[in-house]
Parts: sequence; C-alpha cells; structure tokens
Amino acid sequence: MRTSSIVVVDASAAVAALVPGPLQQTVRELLLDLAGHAALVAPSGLFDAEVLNGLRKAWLRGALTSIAVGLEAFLAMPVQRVEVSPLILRVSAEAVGAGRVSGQDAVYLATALVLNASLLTLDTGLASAASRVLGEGRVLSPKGEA
Amino acid sequence: MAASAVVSVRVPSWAKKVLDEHGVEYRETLRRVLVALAEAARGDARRRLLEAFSLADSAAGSAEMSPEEIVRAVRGCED
Repeated sequence: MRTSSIVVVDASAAVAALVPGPLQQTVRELLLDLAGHAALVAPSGLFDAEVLNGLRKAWLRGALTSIAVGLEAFLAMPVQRVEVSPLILRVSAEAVGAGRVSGQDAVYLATALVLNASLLTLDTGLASAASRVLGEGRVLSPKGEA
Repeated sequence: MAASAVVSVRVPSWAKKVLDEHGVEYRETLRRVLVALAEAARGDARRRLLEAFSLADSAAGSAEMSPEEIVRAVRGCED
C-alpha cells in the first residue's frame, strides 16, 4: 500500500497496540513498519484524552493491570503531537457540516488533509469517511475494510 | 564528548507551500513533523515503539479488548 510520508495515528490504533486484543500484533507490526520511514503524528489534546479513555476502559475490563504503566507506555510511543490550529478546526467544521462524522473524527480527518498525510485507525466509520475525503490509498485500517 | 548524528531530511514541496501560505501558524507543526521524520530515519522511532510495547506488555491483563470495544472506549461511549 502506498502511504504518505506522514501518518496521522488515531487513538484507537494507539490503544490497540498497547492493550491485549485480536489486532494487537497486526497494529504493532504496522506501526513498526511505518515508523521506519514515516512521521507518526496526532492532533494534540484530542489524541491524548481519547487514549486515556481507552486505557481507563482497558483497566476496568482487566485488559490492563495498571493505568500508570499503560500511560507510560503510551507516552513512550514516538507520535509527535501537532496543534489543532484554527485552520484544522475550520476544515473540521466543513467535514462535520458535510455530515456523518463526529467532531473528533473530523479533527483527525482535517489533520490528515492539511498535512497531506495518511490516516491509521481501527474505527470503520472514520476509515470510511477518510476514504471519501483522503482517497482509499491513504487510509490504513488494520481490518483492511476501509 | 559524544558524537552527534546528523540526519538530512528533505522538506517536501507541500510543506514549503503550507509554510508560504500559513507561515507562522504552521512553523511549529512542520518542525514537529520534521523531527518525527528524522526519528524515523535514524531508527529511533522503531526503537521507542519496541520499548513502549515492552512496557505495555508488562502491564497486560488477562482480558482482551475487541477493536469495536476500543473504538467505543476512546470516543467516550460507555457500555
């Protein structure tokens, strides 16, 4: 698959790599492959808060024994945070206005669009929207259904 | 004194275009992207990922989360 030299990583992909699950190994291998040649980035604030949601849930479900250690693992991941700038918000608003994406999804989409990046996500709804906006070749969905 | 590695990163044409159009607003974003590209080129990003995965494994519980559960959880949709 041809990907951009920049990949926006969404929170579902980050959590899937950290927490036991059926796609953990697949996502890890994909991230390791991407990290060898691409910049891994994520929208600041949104990404972090969403991953914290995921780690909390994993701890409650017994998939994680310590939120603190899970958080340290997350913070060790080489994902550069980029500011959710006024331009990204304006593009996000257009995506929301076009329908069927949440505000969070729109920020990921807009970040990828503005940076001319690919998008890595487990979220089939976001992947589908991203395929329409970015083009199918720029969506990395470990399930391969985007 | 430790030697420092110098990694050359080509600035993509789109980045130059964004800088021209949005200037200061995107300078920091582009700096971060270039830092990430340099990390990838040096192999640091892969090394850091492996460290992160090893740390995560040390806190792995006995349960698993499905992709659907993960997506609902990160978006804040409680079951």
